[in-house]
Amino acid sequence: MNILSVKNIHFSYGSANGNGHKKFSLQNISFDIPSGGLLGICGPNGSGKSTLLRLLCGALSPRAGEILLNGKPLNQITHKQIACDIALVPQEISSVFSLTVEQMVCLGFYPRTSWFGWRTAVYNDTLKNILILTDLWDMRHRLTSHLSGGERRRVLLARALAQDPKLLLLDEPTAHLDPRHQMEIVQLIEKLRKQKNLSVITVLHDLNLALDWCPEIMFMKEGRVLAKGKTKEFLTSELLERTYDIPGDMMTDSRTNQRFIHFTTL
Amino acid sequence: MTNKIMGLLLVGMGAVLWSLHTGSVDLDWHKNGSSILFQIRVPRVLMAGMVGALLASVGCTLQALFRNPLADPYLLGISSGAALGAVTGLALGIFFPVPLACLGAIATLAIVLYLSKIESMISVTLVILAGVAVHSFTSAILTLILSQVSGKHETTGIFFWLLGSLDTLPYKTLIPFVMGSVLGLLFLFFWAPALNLLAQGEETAQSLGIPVEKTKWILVLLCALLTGFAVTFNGMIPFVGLIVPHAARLIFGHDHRVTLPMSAFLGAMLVMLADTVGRSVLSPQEIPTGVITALAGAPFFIIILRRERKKLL
Repeated sequence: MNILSVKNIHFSYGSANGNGHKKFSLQNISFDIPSGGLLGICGPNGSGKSTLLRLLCGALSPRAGEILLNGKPLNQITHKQIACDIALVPQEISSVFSLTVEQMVCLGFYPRTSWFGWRTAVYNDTLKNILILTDLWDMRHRLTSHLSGGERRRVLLARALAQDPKLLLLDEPTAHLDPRHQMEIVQLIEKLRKQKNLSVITVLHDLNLALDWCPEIMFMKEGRVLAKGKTKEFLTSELLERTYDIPGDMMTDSRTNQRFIHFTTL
Repeated sequence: MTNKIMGLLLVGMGAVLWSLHTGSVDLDWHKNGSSILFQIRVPRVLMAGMVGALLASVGCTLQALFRNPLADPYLLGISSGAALGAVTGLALGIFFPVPLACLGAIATLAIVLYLSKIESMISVTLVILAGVAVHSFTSAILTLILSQVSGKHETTGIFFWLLGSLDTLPYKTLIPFVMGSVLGLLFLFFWAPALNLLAQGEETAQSLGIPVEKTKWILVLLCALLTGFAVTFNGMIPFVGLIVPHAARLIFGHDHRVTLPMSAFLGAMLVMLADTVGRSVLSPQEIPTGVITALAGAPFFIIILRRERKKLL
């Protein structure tokens, strides 16, 4: 059973007929995510990856084509219902008013609470579990604006977990994180994926991470799907060069037999 | 948190009693004390409180909605739009000040939002710039009209509209105003959880289950209507919508389920006290309420401006 099916979606920013020409940001994108699946999306800056994530969580609507969540078109479901199933983890907190860690995580309960959103005992338990799971319990009363980049990233992940979603959309979950925190976040997501059969779509710039982590990768370029397939089978030097317009090498470590990607930057 | 709220409520009750007790004449129960209290001071205090609550809640809502600490019905030109609407009606002899003020408020807010849109997103910086420009323009027209017609009609006094001053209204007018305002405020408080999410940015709000466009229009419309209400009865009071929400945020944090009602409460207290000071220090002369709130508000505005100036660049 596919939790999410994307069928031939097109999208463009601005009005569709403004200035007489349509500039499509996304064209003809189709893919499916099975329940419990993990898909990595890679591609150069401006290839439409983040726009795609926004479309998938209903923040933007496609101009054509449709997105099916559990077989139902996304535009026929209320935003609250979408938020119960799909959670987006953005790259940064974008507020001028600073909430405490606990308040920020509690925003994730919004789609599931009654009209004024006061927490009940059930939510307090869930909240505690989530804060411990994401290693935020000790800093739950601190202001998010006083946290480091990595800590803020964990807060955003915790907020998404509070939504108790079936599908997690991650916008570069490891960007700006040191190697240890990168590892911790990836391991945490893997754990949740196994425990709760969570499906994950993640945008990644770190191709080596994508290679190790994602069984399937979709490459995007200029708003189109360039290639999609099983990571181990279809990732070649030629595809990397086609995606990023610079020569990239698929190498194999002779000692461990692990594959890795190398771009010559200098 | 509960302690702070209880403490403030107690202080508030004290302030209400003081405001009822203070005035140009001392209350004498053997003479006309009770009629002065119930016919003059109670309506006046009620009115001041209502107007303060309206302006402060609208300010708090706009700040969260536009994610801009400087948003306020006065700076965004909504107040002057409302005043212009009401004054135009009076000058042309049509009257209906409340609907015309609401119409004026909606029209100016619509213009400001239209001017500050970039590719369907409302720019945080532009909304203030556009607001100040629209405010200057509308208050210039307002002053022009007032200077031409003043004297012909009692309520067209320049002081009343430009600096805000309270008048004692008969209960016949007061009760519908208070009831309308209370209903409007309760409806606004109902959106507090949504405001918490909207303050995190439109994309986040949408991904957490808020229909952003619809909610934004409801809130914007509501803010314009409530401003229209406040301005018709009281003229433009600057800075209440700006200072009070920030004071509430400093005391209670950024959870709007607490901050929004507490803004209303603090706003009510501020305007009530400003009005009491205004009518008692130089009595029998009255200082416009706006003068007192601006004397307290302008320095506060400068502090915020200094603290937040990096975000504006």
